[in-house]
Amino acid sequence: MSRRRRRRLFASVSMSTCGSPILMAIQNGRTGTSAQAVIAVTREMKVGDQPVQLIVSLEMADTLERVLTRVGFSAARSHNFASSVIDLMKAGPEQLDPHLLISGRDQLGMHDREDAGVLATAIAAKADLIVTDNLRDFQTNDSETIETRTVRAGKVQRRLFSVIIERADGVCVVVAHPIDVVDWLRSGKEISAAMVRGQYRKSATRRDRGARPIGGPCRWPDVRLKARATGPAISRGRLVVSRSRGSR
Amino acid sequence: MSATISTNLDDTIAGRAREIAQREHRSMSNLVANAVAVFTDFPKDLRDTLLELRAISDSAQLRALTRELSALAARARFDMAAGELVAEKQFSNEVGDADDIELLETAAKLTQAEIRRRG
Repeated sequence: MSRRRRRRLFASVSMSTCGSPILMAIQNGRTGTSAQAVIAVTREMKVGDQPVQLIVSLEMADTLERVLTRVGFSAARSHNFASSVIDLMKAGPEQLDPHLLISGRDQLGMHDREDAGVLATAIAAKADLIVTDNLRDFQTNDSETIETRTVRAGKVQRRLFSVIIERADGVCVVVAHPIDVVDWLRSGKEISAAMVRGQYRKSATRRDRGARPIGGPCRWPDVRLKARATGPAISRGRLVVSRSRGSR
Repeated sequence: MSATISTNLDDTIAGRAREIAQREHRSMSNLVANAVAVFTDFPKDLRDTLLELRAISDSAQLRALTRELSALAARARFDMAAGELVAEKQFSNEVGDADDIELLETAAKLTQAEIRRRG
């Protein structure tokens, strides 16, 4: 009996997940943290038999580099580490080049410009998943928030949730906490909006009661990404994407 | 000490080499020197296999092998870069007792602070 080949998972991992937490963990001899597990998957470029393609923008890598330099790491080594994350993306199953975001983030209705850039990049690269600890900034009027689990953080309990951003033009991104993502991956779940809704449907809430129904008519912002050097353009609805070539 | 060696390349390979050199801002001499250095690092069996696969036009195996090699190289580079940073021990040991969520929140704060600083 032939096994069904699983589709590729396109995952954007926030720089605050793939940078400092894994370095902190390794420095202190920790193993098995959720950040380490997420990075292990993107490093292996697969989970089980499912190929995993990392998605990172040049801006995200730049932020990672700046944070590490600010912490006190040498500039050259910080740059090298950020570049090595880009290399993981370029060597992935889709061999993607990083994008340079030019415009469009302002139309995504998000408060945080940096996170809007993360979302715009994820949309342009057709990501299925954004892994981030900072979920609140991804809640917009058009997003769907689904509570997932309660975890202990020090002496307090924290409720985790996922955000689903789904649009009529086919864009569908799950924004999830690393702890949830690791749990889903370990249990062999194929990450999708349908899976998240199916598993946690009872707690699904819309942040904004006046929000349009998911999948209904909407105006999709014009997100423009331009390559640092010229490359093939991909047209996706009103998204215009160019991949950078040799931009490192 | 260095030695000067000359070689003949067919037009296709020479064109490709020039294109790579231009794109990567290297001289042809530097490109060829690097290529020879990498090739001579490989064991004979691997060199022979690569040449054999290369001789087959549109070799799917060669593409798959190249992809695997790229992935291995990317992993090695990532591990090395992470190891070099960890060796600097820039993070305080206080985070050693932090749980998973606290590690992520500490990292998120660092990132947010840098973003605010940048404006």
